[in-house]
Amino acid sequence: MSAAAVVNQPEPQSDVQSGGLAVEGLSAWFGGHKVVEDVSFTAPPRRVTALIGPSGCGKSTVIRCINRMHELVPGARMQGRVLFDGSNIYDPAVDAGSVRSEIGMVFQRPNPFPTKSIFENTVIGVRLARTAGGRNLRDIAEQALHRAHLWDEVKDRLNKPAVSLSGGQQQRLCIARAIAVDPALLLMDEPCSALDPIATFAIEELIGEITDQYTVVIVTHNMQQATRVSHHTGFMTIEHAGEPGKLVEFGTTDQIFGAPKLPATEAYVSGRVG
Amino acid sequence: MSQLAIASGAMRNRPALRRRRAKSGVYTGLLIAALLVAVGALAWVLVYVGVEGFSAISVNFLTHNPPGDPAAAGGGFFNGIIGSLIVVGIAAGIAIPLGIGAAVYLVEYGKGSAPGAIRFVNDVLIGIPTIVTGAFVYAIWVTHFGFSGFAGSLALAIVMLPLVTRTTEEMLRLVPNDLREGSLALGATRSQTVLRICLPTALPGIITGAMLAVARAMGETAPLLLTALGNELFTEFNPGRRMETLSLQIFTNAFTGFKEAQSRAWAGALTLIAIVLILTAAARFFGRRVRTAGP
Repeated sequence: MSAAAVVNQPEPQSDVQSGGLAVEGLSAWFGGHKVVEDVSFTAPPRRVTALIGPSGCGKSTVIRCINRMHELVPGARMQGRVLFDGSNIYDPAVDAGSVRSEIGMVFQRPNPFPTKSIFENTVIGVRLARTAGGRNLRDIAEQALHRAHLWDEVKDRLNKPAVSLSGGQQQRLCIARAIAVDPALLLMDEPCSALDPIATFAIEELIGEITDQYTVVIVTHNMQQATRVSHHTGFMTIEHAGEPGKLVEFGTTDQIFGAPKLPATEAYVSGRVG
Repeated sequence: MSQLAIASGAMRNRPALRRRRAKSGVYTGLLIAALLVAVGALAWVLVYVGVEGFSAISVNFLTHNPPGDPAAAGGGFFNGIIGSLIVVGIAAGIAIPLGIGAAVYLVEYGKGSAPGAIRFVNDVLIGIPTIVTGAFVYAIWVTHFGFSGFAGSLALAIVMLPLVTRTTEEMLRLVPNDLREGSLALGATRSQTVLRICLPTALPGIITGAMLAVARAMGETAPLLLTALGNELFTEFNPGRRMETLSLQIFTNAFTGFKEAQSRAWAGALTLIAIVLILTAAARFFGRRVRTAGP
């Protein structure tokens, strides 16, 4: 299938507004195995864009290409362009580290640093990138923890180990850690799949709030979650086993779930497959 | 036949069930016996050294050198204690940083076939008899510069290096990849990730491994015979000269056949074990302090 067959695909454009993301013709491989083929979409600034689809369809690989995490896996490579604020993050002149401090990521399993305190976990990105610029680390931590709805729960034990927190708290700490670096775009790779419904609710609520500052791209295989948090949704799938995953339909979340144009999308969002 | 039918069939088959239970009992008994032998042997060594050592050890033993006449009573292994600390200290100073560096390369940076080859060579190095290491240092160092404590340190460093590399490598491999990705995703460089995340996370294991290597070096005698040589009668602080160590002193005193010298050897053995225990406890304590240091 070529890009032209993607339904509702907005024309890729290089001059997206500040904070906006455009993925153009993205394909990705692990060694000789092609896992993603010709994915194109745009994520508008300060909106939540969700990628949904069955397991193994390449959703995670796509977002790992957006902050250049994909290339860290030995043997992994990609093709295509990822434009952020209109500039290609794969330009040879661009440093992968600076891309990652501009485009933060929250992982499927909470991964706070076990040797570090709650406070240290929150500010470690700022310390490493030396982006504090004279601001007080304590203020940065407090602000980030507030935004991640964690401050009230941890303010009296900032020096306790991060691993003393519950799973949901740990994930919010990881969100605070990502926010503290002040990225413009936040990628979330199934951030709630390891959490219970209450912890999930807390995170969905905060995703809704941070869109005043941040663009969010979230991968989820929970369709209810996509309808609750996102403005735009892309549906990825694999047509036959062993083939690479493709983005087959992209549109507003209301349209994808209310009036999907492709039978495959309709079957998936209605719960008949996947 | 359904699973239930199989289960009820087995239950009705009383002799088969009895046989199975008897077999289980025999194997459990064998495992417990193996455990008792292993732990018992270790306990026996410790108790034996403790009993023999405590009857011979004294403040005098820890602060005096051996008497000129090995058959004389009294005297101690002060020169050997100092020598062991200096010789092993220098060896640790060489081997621990090099070993950690090599392991970091293997786990965090190595690509292609190089790490596999290095790991193989490292495993071979672990298996080299230490008397061979002593002979090697004798040939390349002692024949040019003479016997010295430093030559002993070189030999011990060669003994320790593959042990430190191996344990550090294994500990770094246990650091979950999630943490590396978490750090890199914040914009950290690979070296920042290694220094700030991977090494601190693996630190307790690295310290344990390093202390095992130190304990091993403390007890090594063979490679020192051909390098540090020994120095029975006076205390030498200069590693450029031949030096006594506790292990050499235990060896020579146990060998004499004089009761007095043999009891000094027992006291020396107890001292050696005590030094290793104290160093290990101290390293763990400081390791924990470093690891959990706040902002």
